This record gives sequence, C-alpha cells and structure tokens, in this order.
Amino acid sequence: MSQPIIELRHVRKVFGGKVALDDVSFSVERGTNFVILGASGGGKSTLLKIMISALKADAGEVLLDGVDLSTAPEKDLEAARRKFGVLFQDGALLNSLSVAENVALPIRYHTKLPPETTDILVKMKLELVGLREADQKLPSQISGGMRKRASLARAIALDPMIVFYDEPSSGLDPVATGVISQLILDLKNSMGLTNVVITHDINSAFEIADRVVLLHRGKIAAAGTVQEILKNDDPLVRQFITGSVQGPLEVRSDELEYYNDLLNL
Amino acid sequence: MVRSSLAGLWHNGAVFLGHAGGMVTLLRQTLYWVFLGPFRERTEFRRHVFPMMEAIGNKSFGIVALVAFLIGVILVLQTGYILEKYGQIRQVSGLVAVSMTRELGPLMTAIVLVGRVGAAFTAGLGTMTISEEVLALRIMSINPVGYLVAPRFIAVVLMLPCLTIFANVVGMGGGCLMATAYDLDPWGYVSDSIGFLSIQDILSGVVKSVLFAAVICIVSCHMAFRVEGGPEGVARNTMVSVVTSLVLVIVTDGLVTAFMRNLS
Repeated sequence: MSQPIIELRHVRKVFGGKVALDDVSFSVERGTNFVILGASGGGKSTLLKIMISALKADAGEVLLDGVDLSTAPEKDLEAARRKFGVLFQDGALLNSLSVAENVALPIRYHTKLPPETTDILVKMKLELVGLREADQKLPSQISGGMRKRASLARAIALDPMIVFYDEPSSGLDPVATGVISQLILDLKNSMGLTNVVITHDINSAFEIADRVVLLHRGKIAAAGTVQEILKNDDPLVRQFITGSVQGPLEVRSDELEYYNDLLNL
Repeated sequence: MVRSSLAGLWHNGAVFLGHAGGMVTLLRQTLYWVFLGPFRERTEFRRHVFPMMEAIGNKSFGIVALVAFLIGVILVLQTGYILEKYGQIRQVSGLVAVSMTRELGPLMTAIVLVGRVGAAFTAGLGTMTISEEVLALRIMSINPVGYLVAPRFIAVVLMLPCLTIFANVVGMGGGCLMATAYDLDPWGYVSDSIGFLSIQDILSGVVKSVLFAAVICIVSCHMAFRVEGGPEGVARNTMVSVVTSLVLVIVTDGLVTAFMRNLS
C-alpha cells in the first residue's frame, strides 16, 4: 500500500486557553475523496487552516506528501503549497482581476510559459468547470456558484495533487451544489486528484465521499466509509445524520448555566 | 484600581510594541521586494505600479492644488499686514516660498494623501484580508508583500515628491495672486521667490516627502493585514491607520527638520 498523501498524527491546537483541536489523527489515501464533517464551531476550519499551512499546530505532526508542515521552514512550505489548491468558502478570488486573470495568476507566477500558452491553459481550466463564457467578467459580476467554480479552476490551474474545499456547498442552491459535487467526483475520476472536503452538508458529503471523519468539539467522533458511518449507532453520529434537535449535539447552552447567568445580572 | 490601571498600561504597551515591530518587519520585507525582489523572485511591478501611480498621483492633483493654493493665499493674508506695517511687504514672497518648500508643501500634501490614499490602502487591503484573498495569495505561494505592498510603496514614494513639488509651485502661485492685493508686482514677486529659495530648501522638502510616503504606505498596509472581525474591523483599522499615519508624519517631520537644521 502506498504512503498516504496526508497524515495527521495527534494534532492539537489551542486558542487562548480554548482547545480547538485535540488529538486529531487520520490519513488520506491518494486519489480518494476524503470528507471532514462537523457542526459549526467543531474545529473544521481550524483543521483546514492547519492542513493548508495557514496555521501551525501546537502539537502533533501534519505530513503532506512526507513534509511535516508544522516544522518545515518557509521555503519548504512554499514548495509544499504548490502540491495543493484550495477552494475557499467565498471563492477568495481577487476582486480587481477578471475570472481569467485570476486563473492565470498562479500560472504566470510559477511557470515560464508564454502568454499564449497561459491563455490556452486558462481556457482549458475554465472549460473544465463550465465557465469559459464568463472569463472576462469580474468576480463581483458573477453568482456565488460561479465564483466557487472559478475558484476551483484557479485551485487546479497548476495541476495539484490535492484540492481542499472549504464548505463548497454553503450559500448555494441545490442545483449549484450538485454541480460542485459532480466536479469534485470528475476531478478524482479523470485527473486522479485527492479531494479533501470540509462541510456540514451531509447529503453532498455522502454523495462524494470515499471516507468520512466526523469532528465534534475538536475531537474525531467517528471515522470510516459512508456505509460504516450510516451504520454507526453512536447517538452523536445518529443526531448529525438525522439532523435531530434532541441529542448530545447541544444547540442551546446548558440550563443550569442559563439560570446562573440570569442570577448574576 | 491601581493594579487594573497598570494591567491596562501593560496591555497597551504590548499592543504598541506589537504594531511597531510589525511595521518594522513590513518595511524590511517591502524594501527587500522593491530592491532585491525583481532580481531574485517573480514580480509584476510593471503591471501594477503604473495604474497605482495614476490612482495615487493623477487623481490627487486636483485636491492637492486646491489645498496648496489656499495655503499660499492664507500665508500672505496672515503675514502680509504685519510685514506691511514694518514696510517689509516685499519679503512676503520669500516667506511663502521657504514655508511652502520646506514645510507646508510636503506636510499638507502628505496629510491629503493620508486621507485619500492611506485610508484607501487600509480599507482595500483590509477587505482583501477578511475575504481570505490575502490568504489565497499565500497559499498560491505568491508573497502578499511582493504582490500587494511593494507596488503601492513604489507608486507612493514616486508620486508624493512629484505632488509636493507641484503643491509648492501652486502654493507660491496662490501667494502671488494674494500679494497683488498689497500692490506687489507679480513678476517681481516671482523673481523674489526664486531669489530667496536655495536648492537645500527644495531638497529638504523632497526628502521629507519620500519619508512621509514610506510612513503612509507601511502604516496603512500594516493595519490592513492586521484586520480582524469583519467589516467593523476594516472600519476600526482604517481609522487607526489614518490617525497613526498623521501622528507619525508629524513626528517624522519634526525629526527631519531637527536633523536638517543640525546639518546646516
């Protein structure tokens, strides 16, 4: 069996005394779709930022294709970053550049290709996400779903090994969500990409995932294939899948805490 | 009470030192990207600097001209009647020329640019910070200082001295126009102004404007990268950026003036 492309070992992150991630360990195999599920505030975004080297873990190892992102010097991190692309939650396209210029940006910076070849590559990437007609538009002139697809085209501009997706379906209608899910599947099947998707959308997660982990309060509550997660009897997993209000996932604060808060006024 | 005051003082001191250290680091990184970056790394200054120069320079000429003209007029209005009382009204041209080139030209132009350009830098780059555009650049291995700050730095450092020299000329023009109210001959006023000015007066103003440009760019970009907490954070940091830039421009002015005085 080949070495996992991403491996997290006992990762821990604390913000101002509050534990955001605690003893998180998992590995992602090459050419698979890996989904990290969890409720809001469960540590998903922190975990993504650590995996894309935007944050350093306080403890543990984060291995990306063999390079430990938590200890690597900046030069090694820059090399590691070229192995992956990121689809940010709101696209994070540069608003002053057109869609085509956004996609061309990493190609211009990291290759010595002539402008004509860059233009051809940009058109190919935009065609892949179905946005070739919108290439001259500014990000503010296109819809949220189109912005995400443009961001995906930019993420795959340099043919990375991995693409990270931060809440790819948030703020999108069901059709646009379906388009993004299909793109994720296509990228894995046609280009052999590894996709790591952070989401709380259970339907699209189960549609695309080869493996799933459920993150709860900074810890891994469950891990396995879609079938294994569906069969899991843990009340927390069941509540997350069914979307029930009753269960271990607290929507409101503790009742005793509420009374104390009132009395302290 | 005393303990909490001390704790507040300690906290504010730590925040101040954090910002000061951040600005020094940003200045060091910016100078690297401006002077060494083009030879060692991929940069796109040609693509970014000229539009930036146009936004900073060309579009500021109107407001700078208005302010400088009025300053020239006010200087003559405020000093003319005293000089006239002592029969020294011809000296007003020298007073306006030296005041504008040494002090008011660079200072007033810098103050206009703090409001017009510094605030725009903090608001624009701050919005990019909260919308994860700056993070996206880092993740694409494109250095945000090289891509965003260095072109702005070059554009401001080139345009502020140009605007300052323009402001000096317009300010002297304003003074000349007002001096006609004291029955002074405009051509005599101009030749007196030129006679009064030394190359050191003009150079001192240009040196100041280069330093003011560096202060405005570094403070505004530093505050933009430190934005936290959404649009409210952008508004807060823009306000802090404008106030800090104004204070630092005046502190720099004082230091350079004292240094130049010792030098001469």
